[in-house]
Formats: sequence, C-alpha cells, structure tokens
Amino acid sequence: MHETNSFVGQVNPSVKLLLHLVCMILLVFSRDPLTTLYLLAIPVLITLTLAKISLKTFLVRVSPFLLLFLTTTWVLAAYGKGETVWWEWAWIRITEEGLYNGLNIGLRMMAFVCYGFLFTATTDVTKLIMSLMQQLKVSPKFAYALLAGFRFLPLFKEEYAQIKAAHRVRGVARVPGLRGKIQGVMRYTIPLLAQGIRKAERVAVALEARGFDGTLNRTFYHQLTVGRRDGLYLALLLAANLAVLLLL
Amino acid sequence: MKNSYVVNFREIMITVILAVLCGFIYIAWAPLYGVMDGIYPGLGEIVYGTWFIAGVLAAYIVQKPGVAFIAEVAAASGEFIMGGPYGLSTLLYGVAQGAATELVFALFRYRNFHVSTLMIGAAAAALASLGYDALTGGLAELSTAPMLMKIIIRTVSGAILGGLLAKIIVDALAKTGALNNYAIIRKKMEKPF
Repeated sequence: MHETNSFVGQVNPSVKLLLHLVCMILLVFSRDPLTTLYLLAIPVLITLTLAKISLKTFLVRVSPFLLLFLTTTWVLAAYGKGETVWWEWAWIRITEEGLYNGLNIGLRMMAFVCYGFLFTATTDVTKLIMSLMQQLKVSPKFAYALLAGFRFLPLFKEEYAQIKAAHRVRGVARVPGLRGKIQGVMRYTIPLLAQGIRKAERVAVALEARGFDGTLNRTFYHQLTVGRRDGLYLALLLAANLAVLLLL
Repeated sequence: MKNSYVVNFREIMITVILAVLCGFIYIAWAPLYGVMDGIYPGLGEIVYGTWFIAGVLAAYIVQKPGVAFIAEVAAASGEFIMGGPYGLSTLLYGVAQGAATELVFALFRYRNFHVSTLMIGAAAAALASLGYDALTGGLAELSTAPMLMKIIIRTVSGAILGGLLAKIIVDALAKTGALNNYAIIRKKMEKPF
C-alpha cells in the first residue's frame, strides 16, 4: 500500500532516495543519543504529517524493528568499551559509556529504518524504476530486470506452496533431526531457484522482443520530472537536519 | 558462439531474479541474527554469511564482470523494498559488499571460479560489511574481545555460508539442467578436445 497522494508521495523517487541517503550520512555525525533522538524525530514527524500516514500504520509497521533497537543497544551496553561499570554478571559488563553509545547507535538504526519506511510507504515501485532510468540514467537492462524481479516475489510464494504440496502428494518422507532439516532446505531451495531461472529466461525473451533491454530507443509512458516540490523537500530535510546538528 | 565478456539481458535477468529471491530469504534471517547477537556478540555472526550469497551465486553461474555487484545491489534493493529490518542501510551494505566480491573476481580476471575463489569473494564481502558496521553500526565501540570475535566469525561464516554453500547450491542447480545456457556449464563444454 502506498500513500502517493501526499506531499512526500509526489516527490520524485530518485530525489527522495538520494536525499534520504544524505540524511543517513548526516545521522552518522551525531555522537550523542539526544541529538540522534532529535534527528530521528524528523522522519517520524514527516511520516505523520507531510506523508499523511496514520500513527497506527506507522506503529504497526515500525514496531517490529524495535527488536533491532533493543539488541543493538544491549550489545553495546553489555559488551561495549567503557570504564564506569554499573553492573557485572558472568560475561556481561554494563558500562555507562557502552549504554551511551548503544543508545546513540540504536536510535541511529531506528532513524535508518524510519527513513526507509518513509521511502517505501510513499513510493510506487514502478515510478521508482522509471525515475531511476530517467533521472539517474540507470541502464534499462538492469532497471526492467529489477522491476520484473519485484513483481515476481508473490509468485514465488505460490511456487513454494506448490513445491511443498507436490512433495506431500508424492509422499516424500521427512527425515527427523538436523540432517532432515538440511535435506529439506535443499529440497525446497533447488526447485525454487530452478523455477526462478526458467521464469526469468522467459521474461527476458519477452522483454527483449519488445525492446525493453535498452537496445531500442524506447520512450517512457510515465514521464517523471524534477520540480519545485522536490526543491522544497530537499530544503526542508536538509534545513531540519542541519539545524539539529549545528544548533542543538 | 564464443563467450563474450559482456553480460546479456538474459543473464542480468536471472542474476536479478536469483538475487531478489535471496533478498527474500534475508528478511526471514534477520531476527535470528539479532537475537543470537544479543546473547553474545559474535554468536549472531555464525549465520551472517548467508547475506553474502547472492553475489557469489550469480557470479559463479554467469562468470562475467559486473554480475556480483548487480546481484548484491538487487538483493539489497529487494530486501529494502519488501521492508527488511535495516531500512535504507541495506542498500549501502549491498553496494559495499557487491563491490568487494566483484573486486575479488576481477583480480582473478573472471577466469577462476574455483571453490576457494568463491570463498574469498564472500569473505571479502564480509570485510566490506564490517567496514560499514565500523562506520555506522557501532563495531568500533565494542570492547576488544567481542570485536575480534565478530570480525573473525563473520569472515569465516562468509566464506562458508556465502562461498561454499553457494558452490553446493549452484552445483545442485546445474544438475537440473536449468543452467545449461550459462558459463558454468558452457565453459566446460567449450574446452578444446
């Protein structure tokens, strides 16, 4: 589901992608958790206001990644560099400096996730691929292949269910234990990959026949441009990030 | 037809599809890594090697310049678009790892795809991801023992789960006949008598 009617949804996908990457690089310059928290607030606020995504959707989609925040913070707090020991047990040694770094980097990870979510939630994949070709001059060979790849994913889920069912119909016995697990993985992976390759070949021939491989000078039905809106988004994001970094 | 060194559309297509499939598996893998690493840093690294498999897998099949890089970037974009847990970082990981794997195969001039070469290729990707972690993910802030553990285990895991496993999977795949059009089979058939 993509919220593409909002302000952020209308921003050119290539511009958005590059801008979000720049914001991530800026995040790395923040050395204390509080600053990182403020920087994290920027994509969150944009998601809830300019991107018109409801708080509920945001929480549902981002909350699973709290696990990442917790493990990152925990690892650095318990095993990080530091002198001031707060608590020690077995091989765990929680230090003040470690917790400080852990919070900073955990929050940074969450900000990376939020920029990623803001991007995927407001960007249509087809438009992204079109924009990559038109604005960033990515080769159509790669771009159309990628588009087809994304479109194939739901098909592979079906394929997987089919292979499983086929095994059951033929009464392939499951071997218990670790060996059985490994056997099972190979049993599903190989047919899945072989099917993937065959499907990919068919699509490649079809796309090639229609000149989608960059050998013909094809025009685009979706014309994407860079305009005032993109400039505005750029100014907003950079101003907010730099303001937090330099002033707070 | 002689083997040309330029990838054709069909090869890019299978590279990307295989890579996106890998990206799909990566997402399922991520929570496992997170939890294991929480118990002790380095424990999660045991399974980290699978993240490097896309580039090696595709490069071993197609054996042409650029394939490893394309595969890693495609796998990363797939993971990112499907909502993988690392957000936009995934793309940067993909670029760094792809470049590293590509570099190794380039050093062997895309002629040598022995299992040891594949393992070095995947280990190089591991080092690239460690470099990225040192810049953004707090590797440098760890105390010495866990840091060393992470570096060593990830590199070894990369070589085994990224390199050796790729070799096993591709060889099994080759037996199905699905790869008959690609360098991995063709090169064997075109050897002079």
